[in-house]
Amino acid sequence: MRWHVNPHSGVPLYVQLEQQVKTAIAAGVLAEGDRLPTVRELALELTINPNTVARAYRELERAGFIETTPGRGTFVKTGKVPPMPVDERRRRLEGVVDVMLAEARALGFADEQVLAAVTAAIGRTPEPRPEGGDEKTGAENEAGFRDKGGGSDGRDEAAGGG
Amino acid sequence: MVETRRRAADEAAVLCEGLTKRYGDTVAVAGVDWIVPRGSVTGLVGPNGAGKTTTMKMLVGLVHPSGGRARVLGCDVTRDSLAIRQRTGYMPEEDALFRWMTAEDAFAFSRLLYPSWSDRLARETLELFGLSSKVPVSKMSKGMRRQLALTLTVAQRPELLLLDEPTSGLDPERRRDFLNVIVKSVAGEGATVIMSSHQLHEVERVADRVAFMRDGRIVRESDLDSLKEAARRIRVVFQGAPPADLAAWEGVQSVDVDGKVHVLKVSDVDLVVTRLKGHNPFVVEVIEHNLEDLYFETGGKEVSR
Repeated sequence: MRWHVNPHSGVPLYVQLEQQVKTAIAAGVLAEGDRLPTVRELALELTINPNTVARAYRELERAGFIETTPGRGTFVKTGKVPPMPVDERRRRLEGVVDVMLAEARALGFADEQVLAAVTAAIGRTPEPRPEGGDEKTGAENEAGFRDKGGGSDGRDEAAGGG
Repeated sequence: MVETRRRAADEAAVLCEGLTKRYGDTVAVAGVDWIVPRGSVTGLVGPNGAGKTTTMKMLVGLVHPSGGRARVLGCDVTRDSLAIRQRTGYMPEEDALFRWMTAEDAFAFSRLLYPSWSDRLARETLELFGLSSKVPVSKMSKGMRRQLALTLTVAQRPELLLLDEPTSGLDPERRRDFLNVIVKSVAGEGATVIMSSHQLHEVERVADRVAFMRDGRIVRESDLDSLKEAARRIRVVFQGAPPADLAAWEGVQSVDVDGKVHVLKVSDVDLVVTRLKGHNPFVVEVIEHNLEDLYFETGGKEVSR
């Protein structure tokens, strides 16, 4: 996995690292049981304070995303914890939508026009499906992201068009 | 109270109380109160002439305080400065290397001075920088001299590193290696670091604490992440009338109104943003502050006092 931080952002570095790990887990870049770099390795790779890395790991561990076994290392946690809580994903989705809406309104569009633009964009872009559809974690992800039944129509349409 | 103080003194790498330095009528350092926890990396920031260099020099016993007191690694700076210098690596802004010396010579010199000196670490660091051990200082560029000075400082394996503008005169590529050597000291040797710098993005990268110095005083000192989190603001514009009880909401500390724009200082950003969304806002955005914003904010506060 490729790590990246932006020290000049107002978002604390440990929060940036935390979010990166969560995103990587949700996206399947990190799988259950994968080993994370040690605090020292990651601090040196990114040239950041080891205390910052340690804090990010502490927070992730507390939230149940990773697990540290003394002497062996830090691993993406196996078991019951879903890749990313639904709340968290929903919160991020809202964030993206909020920004888009604010931008669209600032440009002078009415809400119905914004809605129409989103619908059109959905029609234009087929929804990506993970390659290994039979893979358990992938399937769980998908199920967690869509909690509506109406999605299947759009997908069929998109598939027909392509 | 006294008990807590004493424990803090044992645990802290640096403890200053009212530390002062006067040169005639000029006050260079005007009563510094400061606790630096062990294992932390503190960025000491502030304008030129704020007293950063003088403070550092007092901590290693190179300048005698006019008042107040300071303990470094549990030793008093006026009484035990020799012990402090053996356990502390100080890298001054202007290097004090002899012009005729090569890295090899400097290593031999340091080996005698510092009981904890590591030849292996010295060679590794020199190699990382790509410096030759046989070239005299007089033939080195300013950047190379900084690299050699840092090599000497970390190979001494000090418990505390005091670095005064360590990366001045280095190009961006060299800076990365340079900072990594510092990070390695912290990660590998558990060292405490205090570094003064005008390169705020560098401080943001490697420091976990920051101390703002101005007019001879430390005007603000804190964990950098908490500082950034505490500085977050919410900017909101409502479509209709704003909620009448906005200022009294849970998590809202203050409300600044500028026309239709409300800027909220809050203790819990997520809580307040969620609640705001229920009040039909036109725009809600979270304003983040980086170290540069905080630097100027701190300066403004001091000036207006």
